[in-house]
Amino acid sequence: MFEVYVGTVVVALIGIYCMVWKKNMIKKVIGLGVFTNSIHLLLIAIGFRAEGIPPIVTLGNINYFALRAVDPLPQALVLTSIVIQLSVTALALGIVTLAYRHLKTLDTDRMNKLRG
Amino acid sequence: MKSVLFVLCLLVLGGIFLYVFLSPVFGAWEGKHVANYYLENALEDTGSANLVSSIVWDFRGFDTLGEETVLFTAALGVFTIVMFGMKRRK
Amino acid sequence: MDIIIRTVTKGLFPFIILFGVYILFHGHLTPGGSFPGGVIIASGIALLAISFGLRKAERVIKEETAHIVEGLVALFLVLIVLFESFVRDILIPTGSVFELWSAQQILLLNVVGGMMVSMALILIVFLLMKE
Repeated sequence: MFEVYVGTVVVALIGIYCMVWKKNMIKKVIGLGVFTNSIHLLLIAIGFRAEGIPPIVTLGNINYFALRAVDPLPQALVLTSIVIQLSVTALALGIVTLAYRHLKTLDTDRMNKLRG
Repeated sequence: MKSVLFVLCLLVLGGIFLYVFLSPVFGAWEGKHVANYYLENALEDTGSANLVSSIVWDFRGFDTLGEETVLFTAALGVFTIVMFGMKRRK
Repeated sequence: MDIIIRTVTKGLFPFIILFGVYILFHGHLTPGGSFPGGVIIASGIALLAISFGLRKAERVIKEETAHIVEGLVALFLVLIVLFESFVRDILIPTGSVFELWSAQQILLLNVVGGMMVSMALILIVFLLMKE
């Protein structure tokens, strides 16, 4: 399944392009979010199983479930990672608002005033 | 010129990413002992039907405690930044 | 904001909170858990805040209240982790699989962790809207 990895790489490159090339700081934060989401996509795709069912036990025997369900471990770790991404985004937005109040601009080319 | 160089760098970076991302085999199920253990025994060990929830709060509970610490610290950090800005503005 | 958003929010707000609480309490039986439930509750409050303004949303939960509840819930979480053997052996047994009062410490930790997530998110939304 080559296409899934190509898709995650494309999303990661879009995120890096947005982080490096755009000059607005809010857009940089959005690029960080897109890049993190590509990593999440990759981690979820590792737990793939052909004709899988979600890892939640319903009424039925456990052996059939163990043969069909997808891997629950990457999903739990991605859940942790989403919380970390949310914290990082909130803190970055706070810092952006602080910078805007000090320098009256969001453009990184004009943020060349050294005195605090 | 500058943008062409940037796109070239981006493509090289994409090649590196693809090389790294291709190392796990997609959809292979032979070597996954941890996943098989969770699928077979987690229901009896914890009694929770939702296996993701049982992993998050039981098998890897200390990871989740650290994650909650990060969330608490982020809320505290945003509070500090906003209050600092308000005090400076006056 | 618009009158459409106001009307929809006024009708939908209790059900959003109810749905979040349902997801918190059934985190060990159905899809969901602590983080999605907390995010749903916090998004309900955030919807109220962006449609009616910050003053109206603070009538539901004040910022100081969110502070205090978040600190208390974090303390409670650490206490549950410290006295884990009491919780998982005596308070909540393993039980049979599809009952609400089962699954050892996972039920309690889901509710407490979800409350912590929702309080932190409400705090972040309020503080960033104050700017």
